[in-house]
Amino acid sequence: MAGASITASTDPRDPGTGTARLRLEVDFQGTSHVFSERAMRTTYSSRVPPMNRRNAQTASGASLTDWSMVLDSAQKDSPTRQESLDRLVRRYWGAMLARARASGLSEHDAHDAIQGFVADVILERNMLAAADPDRGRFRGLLSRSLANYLRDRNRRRSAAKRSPVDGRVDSLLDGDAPAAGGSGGPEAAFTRHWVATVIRNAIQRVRTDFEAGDRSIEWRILEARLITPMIDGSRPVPYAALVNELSLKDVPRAASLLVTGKRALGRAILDEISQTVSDPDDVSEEIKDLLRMLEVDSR
Amino acid sequence: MNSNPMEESREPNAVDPLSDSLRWVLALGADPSRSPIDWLALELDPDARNAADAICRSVPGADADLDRLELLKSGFKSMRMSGENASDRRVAARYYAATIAAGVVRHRVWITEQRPERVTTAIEDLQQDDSMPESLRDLAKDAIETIDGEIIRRRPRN
Repeated sequence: MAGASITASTDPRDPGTGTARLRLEVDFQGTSHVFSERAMRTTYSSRVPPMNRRNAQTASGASLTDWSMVLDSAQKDSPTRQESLDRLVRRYWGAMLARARASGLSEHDAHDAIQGFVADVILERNMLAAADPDRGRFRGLLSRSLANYLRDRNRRRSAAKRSPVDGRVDSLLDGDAPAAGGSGGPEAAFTRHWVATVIRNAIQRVRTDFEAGDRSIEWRILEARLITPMIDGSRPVPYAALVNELSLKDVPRAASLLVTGKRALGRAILDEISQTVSDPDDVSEEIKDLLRMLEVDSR
Repeated sequence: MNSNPMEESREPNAVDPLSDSLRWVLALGADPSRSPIDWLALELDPDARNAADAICRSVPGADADLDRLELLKSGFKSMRMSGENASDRRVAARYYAATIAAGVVRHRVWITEQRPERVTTAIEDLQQDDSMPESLRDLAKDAIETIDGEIIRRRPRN
């Protein structure tokens, strides 16, 4: 890739999560872009320490929508360009990787392809400068651009094609690992992983908020009744067991606490999605659009 | 399907968790004040369509139906006292009264230890609240007529 060099290094496996760390450095036209490793491969586990920063905030705490980050990233003289680029790449890394994996690339090749996409298309061709909020959602633009890039890359490479990965990269547990169940092409893989990323970010945010707000009982009920089953398909912990464990008055009390937690999670998901659209009124349409794509994929 | 949340022997949900999550988030966005009461009812009565349906539908056997109503009543009471905001607490109070009204209409018993005059006032308030579902207001109307015309006893405790 002209004008760019990439160094990807894989550190020893993270003892806390069992997830290999990755550091992506892109030297482009004299500027070094470093995309931090953990957030690209964010792993959610009910037992890992909570994240300390909200996903969609700058260091100063200001909330950034996808489009504000895109527009900032497109301005080469912006003092916050690097931060915006870093946030965008981290935010969509898993979904891009899912798309690459579902198109038949091995994990190593998929990482390589995404690194190339970042360097060639996002940085060198400054794809973001051509992005227009009035022409659809950034998610769609990114997915289409990546599809074109992967297709061109595939044409360029005459190496033997690998068969598609059986499984989709939609795990809520591991941002990169293929998950069991379902089928679908690269576009579906991108969408599913993107939805999983949104929900995972929301879960981490709620957990942080609950733990900071001394709401550990609500978190425990939410985790036991909703989040863990959502992640691994296991059965919810029976209410009676939770009542006993948490010394609650009765089952209705536990159910009432779950509803509070569920609503907090719902709000966090809405907030995550609202950061990906240019107009807050588009949130419902975006959810319906994602649902349609997931439902088409499951047929 | 087992509708008793105390037993919870249902098989793991077969729905796609990602789609399911988005659906209830969509419902939350569409009707933020109603969603919590419906979610609570569905936790306690998974076979119901929503909170109003949970109250208005009956299950076979008077004891089973009353047990279910008492479970719902306790849930609404919990939300009435510790709901996240005033709107939640107000709606929960109405649904709390509605479960008591259902006990009166279907079984001629009070499922509460509260004084009948106080509960009757709460049921009358429900009947006059046009923000409540029609089915619950009709239930409240029937309960008031029943209270006026018949002797309502307290449900015996085991």
